[in-house]
Amino acid sequence: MLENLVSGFGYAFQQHSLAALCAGTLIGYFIGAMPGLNPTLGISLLIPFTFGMKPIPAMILLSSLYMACEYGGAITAILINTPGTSAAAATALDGYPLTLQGKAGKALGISIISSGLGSFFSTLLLIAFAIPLARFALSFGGPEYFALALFGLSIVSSLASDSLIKGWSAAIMGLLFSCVGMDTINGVGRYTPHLYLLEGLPFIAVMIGLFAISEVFVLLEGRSGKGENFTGRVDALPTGAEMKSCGITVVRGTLIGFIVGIIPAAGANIASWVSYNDAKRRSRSPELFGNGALEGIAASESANNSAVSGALVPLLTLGIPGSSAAAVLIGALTIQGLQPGPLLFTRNPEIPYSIFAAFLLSAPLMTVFGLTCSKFFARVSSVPDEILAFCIFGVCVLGTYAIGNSMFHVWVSLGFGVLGYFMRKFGFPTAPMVLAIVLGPMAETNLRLALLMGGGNAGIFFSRPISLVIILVSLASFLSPIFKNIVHKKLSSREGQ
Amino acid sequence: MLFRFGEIGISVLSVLAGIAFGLGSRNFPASAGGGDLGPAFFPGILSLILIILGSLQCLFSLRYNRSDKRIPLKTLFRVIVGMGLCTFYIYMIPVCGYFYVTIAFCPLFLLYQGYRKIPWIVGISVGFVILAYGVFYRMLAVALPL
Repeated sequence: MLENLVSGFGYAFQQHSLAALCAGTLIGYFIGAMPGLNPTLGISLLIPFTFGMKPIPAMILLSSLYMACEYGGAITAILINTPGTSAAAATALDGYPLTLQGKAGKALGISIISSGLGSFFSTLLLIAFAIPLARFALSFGGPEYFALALFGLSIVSSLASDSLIKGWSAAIMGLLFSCVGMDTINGVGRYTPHLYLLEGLPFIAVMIGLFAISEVFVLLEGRSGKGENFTGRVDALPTGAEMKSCGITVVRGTLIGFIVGIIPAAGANIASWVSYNDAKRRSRSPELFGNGALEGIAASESANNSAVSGALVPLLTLGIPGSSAAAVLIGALTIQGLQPGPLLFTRNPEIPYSIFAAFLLSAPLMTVFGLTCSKFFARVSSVPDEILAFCIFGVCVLGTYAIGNSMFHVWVSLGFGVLGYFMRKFGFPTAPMVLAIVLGPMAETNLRLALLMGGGNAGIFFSRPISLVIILVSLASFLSPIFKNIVHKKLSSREGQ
Repeated sequence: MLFRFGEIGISVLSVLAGIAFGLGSRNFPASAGGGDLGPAFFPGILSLILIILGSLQCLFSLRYNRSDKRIPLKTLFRVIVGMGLCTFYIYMIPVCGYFYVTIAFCPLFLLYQGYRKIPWIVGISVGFVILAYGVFYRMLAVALPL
């Protein structure tokens, strides 16, 4: 492992890789800081630029962008109360009050340092756990992979906390979309009136449509989400004592973020809220939370950056995305001719280890960039929505056309953009649909393979211990939000009485 | 427009999509036996679930959702016209060529959104086309329609 890591550093220190690392970090900051743009969109937009690149610099570019994006969202959350990414929402709770108190520098400083530490230590956890998990994953067969897909899909219940029916409708629709194309077992074309559809719906175009183009339509509504009190003024950085007081919170945030990040579809968003709640629960002065607690920022930021490394554990070792951004990274790996999963560590060890090295290098780089460029990034976030909408749409059209040099991809992207907008408008979450499109082929193929292995007997899923455990965990993950809702409603009605 | 009307619209569409996918799956070959479920099983089951969920949502919105939350029709109209503009732009790309259409679309799109700073509009239009030409057409060799 150490040899591979050293060789990973060797690749990461090459001229092209270093340039990719710096570019990824800078662009990531920029995209993260722009309200409306998120890591998933950033990676989607940059994928066309990696077509002509070698796999290692391409993956270093995208993964460093992913990491920097998660921090970038905190800049606007702190300065203008507008989280650049959804994972930075918890940061805004304490960051913005600090800005109003004239302590924006402290807030930015704590957020940058917590993000850097979270990234660095979670990467060490990733290095330590990726290989054992990969070895473990090699013993997986059809039943285990089906159970894993089921586990990934069970997260829909928590993604759709507002309405389970809407969330599951979106997920089932996504699963049906994933059926389009050639059936992997029998080779039969399904729902393929057009030859282009034999390969299935183009995943990247669908993702760009659901995330980016639907965002353009939201921006067309003409209601700016930007705050009014933005000054861009940055004061003194946090003192040593203030940083020390947040130390334990950062450690806990890193651990929480890493664990939550591993769970498919949980991602940085959930990680930051879980960590924030944990920090508030354990704090000696919980009353400060929501009014400018540095601990609150440290908890949220260390967790959302740590979740990035966590999301790479199932991605690199099992081929399962831990977040929507990781799902797009799978697409990027596939475009480079690489197959994410256990075999990646045996066939192309240079890829995962150069990503690890890039993460370890990007953490200090990100911190230095962040501390020196805060003022500049704060100004970038003042780009008017009208220009932002045009730029997103223009780059989306270029990006989706570049996938296959065909207008078909652009039309698919636009179609899913329209669908995504109306879904968002009427409370149907798009994340479950994306999750289902990613996990659908895995679920169907492995369900059928497992039943073929078992001669049609569904008992095969319960006779293998790993598969049984994952199915039970999936069941718990599926049911827990439902029970929580019931308990919450009962408590609310009691309080009402 | 009442929010729940939108909910009902999407639910009806999902029921229709379920029916279409379900009917489509009837054309796929049957299972070969020996434990194989066949290509029709997965989409068939999913269509059924989608029809049930869509109907449940429809029923819920009609029967139990008494919220008077509204979405301004003006906002929806503005977005729908914007969607039309985007569709027309994409339709025109293969007809007139990417660069010509884009340089015409950019000012139109910005003006439609209410952006009135002409020098900026010109700068962004030209700058974007130069970026597309330099980065995508020349560097990445993307064969953009001419």
